[in-house]
Amino acid sequence: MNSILNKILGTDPFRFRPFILSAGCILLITGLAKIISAFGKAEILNYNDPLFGISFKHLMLLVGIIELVISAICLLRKWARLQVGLLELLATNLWAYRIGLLCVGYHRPCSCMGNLTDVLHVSPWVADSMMKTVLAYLLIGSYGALFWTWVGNQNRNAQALPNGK
Amino acid sequence: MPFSDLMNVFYLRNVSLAIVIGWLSVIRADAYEYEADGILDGENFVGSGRVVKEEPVSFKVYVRDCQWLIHITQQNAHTKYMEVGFDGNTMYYSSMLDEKLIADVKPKPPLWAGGLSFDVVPFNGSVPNMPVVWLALASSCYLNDAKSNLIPAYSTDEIRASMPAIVVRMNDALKLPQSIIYLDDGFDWHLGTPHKRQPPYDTGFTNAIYSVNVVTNIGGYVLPRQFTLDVFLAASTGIAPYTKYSGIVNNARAECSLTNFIPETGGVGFMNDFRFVSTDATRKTGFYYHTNRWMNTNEVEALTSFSNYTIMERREKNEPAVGIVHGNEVNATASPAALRVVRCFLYAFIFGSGVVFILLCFRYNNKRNI
Repeated sequence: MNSILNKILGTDPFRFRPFILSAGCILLITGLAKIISAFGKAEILNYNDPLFGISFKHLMLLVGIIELVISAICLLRKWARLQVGLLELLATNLWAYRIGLLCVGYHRPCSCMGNLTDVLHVSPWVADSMMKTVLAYLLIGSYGALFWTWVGNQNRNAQALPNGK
Repeated sequence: MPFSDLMNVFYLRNVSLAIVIGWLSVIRADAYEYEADGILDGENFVGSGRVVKEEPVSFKVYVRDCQWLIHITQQNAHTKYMEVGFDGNTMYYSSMLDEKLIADVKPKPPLWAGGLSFDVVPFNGSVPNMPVVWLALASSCYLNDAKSNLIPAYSTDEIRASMPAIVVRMNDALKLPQSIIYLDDGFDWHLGTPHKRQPPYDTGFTNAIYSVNVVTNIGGYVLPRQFTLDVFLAASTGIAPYTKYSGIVNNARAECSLTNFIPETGGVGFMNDFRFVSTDATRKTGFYYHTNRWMNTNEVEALTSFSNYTIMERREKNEPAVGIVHGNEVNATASPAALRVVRCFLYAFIFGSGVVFILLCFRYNNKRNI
């Protein structure tokens, strides 16, 4: 069973392992922060997100769970292609969300780390900059890994063709 | 002395006396003092028809001429009490944390915190309960000066711009407000600078209505017995209720038991001093320092860390305001139609990227099988 899964999801080499592990750790922290914050008593949790129209509490809970699931896959399994793909999917959607916020004229810091910023005595703007950096890291890392894999496949195919003739 | 000169002296004395008596009587007519206590209830409308009730606030208000002090306590709050005082020039904020809150914290942080500013309208961040009490019971002096261009007491914006208002005042010497209609001028200030609102709100709308429903007459002063403040918000779906405050004055008397309107400090604590904020700042950065007393501006300027503060204040003053998030569908300045388009696009994008991801997984799987 495990070998079938490995075949489908890819036990690609340890080339991307540092990126996948670091991304998993980051998502573990941000996911936990979101879930813990969602159960807090901050007033903002009652308000609706400007884009999704659902309360910040439910949105943070939902995104926190998604981040934890992806984090668990990144940290506990070795399905490199699935891991990179999921990171790519998450980073792209987070990026689209931020673009959406800009489009609707929302200029406040994203509450991506929930109340953790208060505990750490970090201002919302600093936390927002940190999250932008994390997002850039996930985007560049995952798309870089995809590009690297694609280049590798192209090379492999090019080498395989003469032999096949 | 000739009789005519004697008469002149007598006449002048009488005139002087009359002027002095007249002047004193004018002062007496303007001078007033009273105190009142009561309860303020607040509720916030957070979208989708949901209402979040605030913990009721018990308040005591002491007023003498243009000086006042408001003491508030709240059940189930982090603070044991909060006091705001105004001596006619400076606003003093004082709050004491509940000891139970830090029972297990070691080392113990200071329980008391203070604030100073040159505001004329009190500010209480995201929960403007205390400024609403001030509006109902201690705003007479401010209204004399501000006339019909008022700083909205209920505003949670860091930079509170004055807005036109239709003010009706009580018909007594005190002249507390009887009703006020706050008219938004079509500009949004939550980032510290004016941003024209999207149509149809760019021409303004009724932002809030304050009204006194029942009055009481104490020693010739007309004080509100029941008052309400309804605040509205320009939401994507139209003008929506945002906050509602209802107050009841239980007791009032035409004497003030306080002589000093500066709150007492509660030991050593953090002071957040806004007296040095640049007048053109879009973000208010206060000066934090440890103290156990109210210091005047000269004493604060002599503190060693003050020079660092001035550098930081100058650097941050033109940044967007660190505002407080409020309102249903918070602070999206786009028009409702634009908001719908962006929302649909985002949902489509998330759904589409998920589908593409699943398809790629299958495609890769098939390729491997081949």
